[in-house]
Amino acid sequence: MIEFFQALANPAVPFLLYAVLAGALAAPAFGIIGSYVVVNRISYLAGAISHSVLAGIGLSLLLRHRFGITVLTPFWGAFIAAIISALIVAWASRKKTDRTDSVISIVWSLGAAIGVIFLAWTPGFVDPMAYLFGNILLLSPQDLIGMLILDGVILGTALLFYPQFMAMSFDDEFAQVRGMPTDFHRTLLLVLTGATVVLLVSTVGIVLVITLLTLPAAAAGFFSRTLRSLMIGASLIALGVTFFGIALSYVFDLPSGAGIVLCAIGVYSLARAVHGIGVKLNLRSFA
Amino acid sequence: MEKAPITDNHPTTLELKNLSFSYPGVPVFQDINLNVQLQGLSQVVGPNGGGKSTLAKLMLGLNDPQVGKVQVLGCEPARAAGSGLIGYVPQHTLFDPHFPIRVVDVVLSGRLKRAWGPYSKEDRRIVQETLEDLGLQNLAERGFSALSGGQRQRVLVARALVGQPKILLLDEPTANIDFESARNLEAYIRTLKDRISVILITHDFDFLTSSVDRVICVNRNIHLHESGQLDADGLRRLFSGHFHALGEAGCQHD
Repeated sequence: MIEFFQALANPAVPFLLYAVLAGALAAPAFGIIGSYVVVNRISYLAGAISHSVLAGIGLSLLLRHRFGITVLTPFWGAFIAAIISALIVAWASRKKTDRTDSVISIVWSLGAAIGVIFLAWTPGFVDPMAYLFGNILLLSPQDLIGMLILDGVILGTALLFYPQFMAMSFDDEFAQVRGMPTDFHRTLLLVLTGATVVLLVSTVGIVLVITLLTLPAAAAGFFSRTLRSLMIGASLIALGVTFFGIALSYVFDLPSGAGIVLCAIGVYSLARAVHGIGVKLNLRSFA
Repeated sequence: MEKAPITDNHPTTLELKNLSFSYPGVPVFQDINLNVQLQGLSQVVGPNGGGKSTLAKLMLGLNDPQVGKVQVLGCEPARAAGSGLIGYVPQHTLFDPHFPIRVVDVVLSGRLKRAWGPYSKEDRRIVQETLEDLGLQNLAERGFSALSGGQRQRVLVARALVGQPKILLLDEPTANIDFESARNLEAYIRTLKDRISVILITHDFDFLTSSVDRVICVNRNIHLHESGQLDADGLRRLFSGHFHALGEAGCQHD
């Protein structure tokens, strides 16, 4: 572990510092949006959005390596794909028909399929592993600036709409009766989820996004009575698991996304166990 | 589209004009006409599936009729509800029991006006007063999910009242709560009905029989009984007699 801290301070390997900074930057967005995703029970919507971002990443790489167009970085390609799929998912889930599930599955797999095709058309060898399972150690300073901007927008919007999002998440019918534009709020929340997914994809990759989005909030949920404490707890847990996940992967030479996800699962299991023991003790003392 | 200003002296009326409503493939109401003054306490009764909740959703603007129109307080339902003139109390059992939210935050949501931004100081003051009025001030910081059914129902009543409505619409408020809480809630509603119009949807026929001003019977059709047209005996017959059969036989109107 000491070698990890030494490496962090070593200017010859800046990527490790970038990785930790990226995790710290993104953690509040993970915690806040993750809390909304968990209390609204929409993790499968987030799953669909995350898999569709491969289309944007693939498009960006195809444009770059086949046509020499470099305007669209993989980060912003992922962002555009996430926003488009968030809008489609919002539209489909609003209709609430039998076909909602099918539309979401289509977004899920179509985005991934298009992405794989684009990658296949890209000349040279592109390793999709980094995008599927993440490699936080590949982040550039430009990516960090993009993450910082996105993080600020997500946090600002989530704070601005906090009372409305809370009311809609608790009872959207009542919010609608009170004249709230609940369709707009729900769509906005899904767009924010899409933006958060893009931050997550840089960190843990497409396949592992759901873990880092939902497990910190689910773990904090065992001990939170309010949405605010849930968000704070989830953000701290996201920060902790990202940091220790990176350290773990550095020390044992593991893929960083996998290290982070294993830490998140460990924290969730621990929280569940502690909660379970607490409940048992309480019951006994009441008996 | 008419945009009459909503003022204090708006008539507390519910008006249905040639109203037809159906869910996809399931007709509920056909060509209904009704014009009712809602002062005091109105009780909506009828069998499950007869359209009680559908009528409530039409009044709140959550459902739009395919034909005809609904007017509450002389204007469109969504507009009346959106300005806080109709307070809505749904059943407490509809909520996610694990949702992390404090009582005060639930009640504050009854003050939602703008599509973004925080609550005002006035919002918080009114919420505080209403919580005290309902004897909930000690529960304000508690988690909603930690409350008993009766307490939750009171919180939902508080949430509806902070919008300062002229009509309070309660959907089965005493269902699934214990006997004593139910009686306390009834007593509180009795104190309200002199200030605002109360509409109570229920299948509990004992509820408030002595103080009800009118009964609206809903079973694919809508019939109005003003209690002035019925003596005490008639009212009792209405409840004990032909409504007892509602569950099985449906409303026995001609």
